[in-house]
Amino acid sequence: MNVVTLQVEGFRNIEAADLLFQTRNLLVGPNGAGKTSIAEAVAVALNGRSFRTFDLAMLLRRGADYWRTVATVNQEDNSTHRIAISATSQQRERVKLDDRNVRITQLATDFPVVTFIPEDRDLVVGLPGIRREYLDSILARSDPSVYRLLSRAAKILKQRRNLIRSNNPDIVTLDIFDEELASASILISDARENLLGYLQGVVEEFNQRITGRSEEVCFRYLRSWKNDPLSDLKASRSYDFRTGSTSVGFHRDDFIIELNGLPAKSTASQGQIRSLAIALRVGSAQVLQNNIGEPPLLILDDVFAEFDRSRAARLVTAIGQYQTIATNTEHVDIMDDWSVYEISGGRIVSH
Amino acid sequence: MYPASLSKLMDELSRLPGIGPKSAQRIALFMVKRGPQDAQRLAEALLAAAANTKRCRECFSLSEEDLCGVCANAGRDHSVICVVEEPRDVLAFERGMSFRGLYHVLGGVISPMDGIGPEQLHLGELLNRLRGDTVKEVILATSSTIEGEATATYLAKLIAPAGVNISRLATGVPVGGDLDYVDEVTLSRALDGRYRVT
Ligand SMILES: [Zn+2]
Repeated sequence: MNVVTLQVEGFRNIEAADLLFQTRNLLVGPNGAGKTSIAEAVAVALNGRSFRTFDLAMLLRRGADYWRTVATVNQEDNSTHRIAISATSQQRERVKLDDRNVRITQLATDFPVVTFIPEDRDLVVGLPGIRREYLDSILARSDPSVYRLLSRAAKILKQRRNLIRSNNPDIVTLDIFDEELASASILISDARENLLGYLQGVVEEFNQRITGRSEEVCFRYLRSWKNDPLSDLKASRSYDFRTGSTSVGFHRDDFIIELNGLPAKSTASQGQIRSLAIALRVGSAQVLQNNIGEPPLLILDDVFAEFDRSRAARLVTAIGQYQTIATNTEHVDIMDDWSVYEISGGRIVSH
Repeated sequence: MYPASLSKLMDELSRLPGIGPKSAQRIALFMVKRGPQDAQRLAEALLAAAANTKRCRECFSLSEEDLCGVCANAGRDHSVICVVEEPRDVLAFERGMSFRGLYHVLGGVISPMDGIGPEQLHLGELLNRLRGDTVKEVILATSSTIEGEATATYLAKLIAPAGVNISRLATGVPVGGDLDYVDEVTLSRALDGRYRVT
């Protein structure tokens, strides 16, 4: 998949901008100039979701009546599509794909985008929820049945939480939600563990290509139950009543990332963590490409700042197969052959 | 600004389900344009419907009598009860004309986040209807949402001691589907494909 053009209006600090993308694109500008907003607009234009906020109402430019993104995209089968998304302060997002109204969730599967942001180091060192979200976002886009499973499971969890927090909860109803939660948790954890199996080799390879060193990467999935989630749920019931939470299930799982046999979270250096985090993202792009047959667009926000010249050069080579939109505060000399947009004060000042 | 009585009408209309401020405005202006006679007819119809419609004492479907047309009909198969969430689900089955049994309207589904537990549904009344040997089969036709499934499971457990056959409406009804939006063909296929729970 290639994004060819992008029009943006009333978006963050951008009044209006028109961009034409090549395979490799660099958005350059000082902090606050709007380069990340342009990158964000690309993500919103293609997938209807931002990597900076869950609340799309935040996107509306101060004083503007509406925001709008229009992207044209070429897919692998040589078809061209036009995606237009707009919203006003009164009305939430409306999505038109080739002039037809579609649901916003459909876009993520048809037009895959993989984003790396500096905070992604939390994939390695952060809380388990970030790693679960990483796996689930790959699974949800790869398989519609897993997408439905995940949304059902989230709903079960919400109902169970409301039930145990209510006065005098009905125990038969709780039994039923526990059974549903247990069977959904088994299916989800199996799907995540399978995915990790695919990812492990891919991430190890990208990590090696970026660092230039041979390092062993190993993933281990950790379930929040021992043998059977249902019996663990029942055993922790009185604890759950006290805390008003659900202590066993797919939403409490995690995975451990080992680098050369040691947990990366506690032993890896800053450089190793950063490379691993990028390898996790680029690796997910390859898995998505295998699963949906469409190479994702890569958005790399502020990646090159902390990389030395050789590591940056290796990264550029490693991502060669993907269309890329990168942001940086200054020009990068190894990227002279990239299409460069300079951005300042929410405007494109040169191209 | 609109005259006070017109704004009042718009305000009332916009509280109706599926009607936003814009539609409320359109309907109100339309009614005013049509004049008092049409408005009178609509107002009378509204009043009559609200005053005369009540719940059937057997199945809790909507009816003008104590017993609804289905429950009062001796030609229906009184040995089968189809359990649904809302009165509109009864209408969906009746449109299909493929079901000859009786209904039981629960008045909702178990949903803790909406504060609805089993005690808010017409469950005791269903158990009462299963006393005696008239009823041989109960079809659980709640939707296939989480809440619909949980309610069906709950009902299956609750009804099991009554010793009747219990089946679940199976194929054809899409996941998360609302019976009201399922066409008649799909619904009758779903009825044929129902499977035994106990
Ligand atoms: Zn009746």
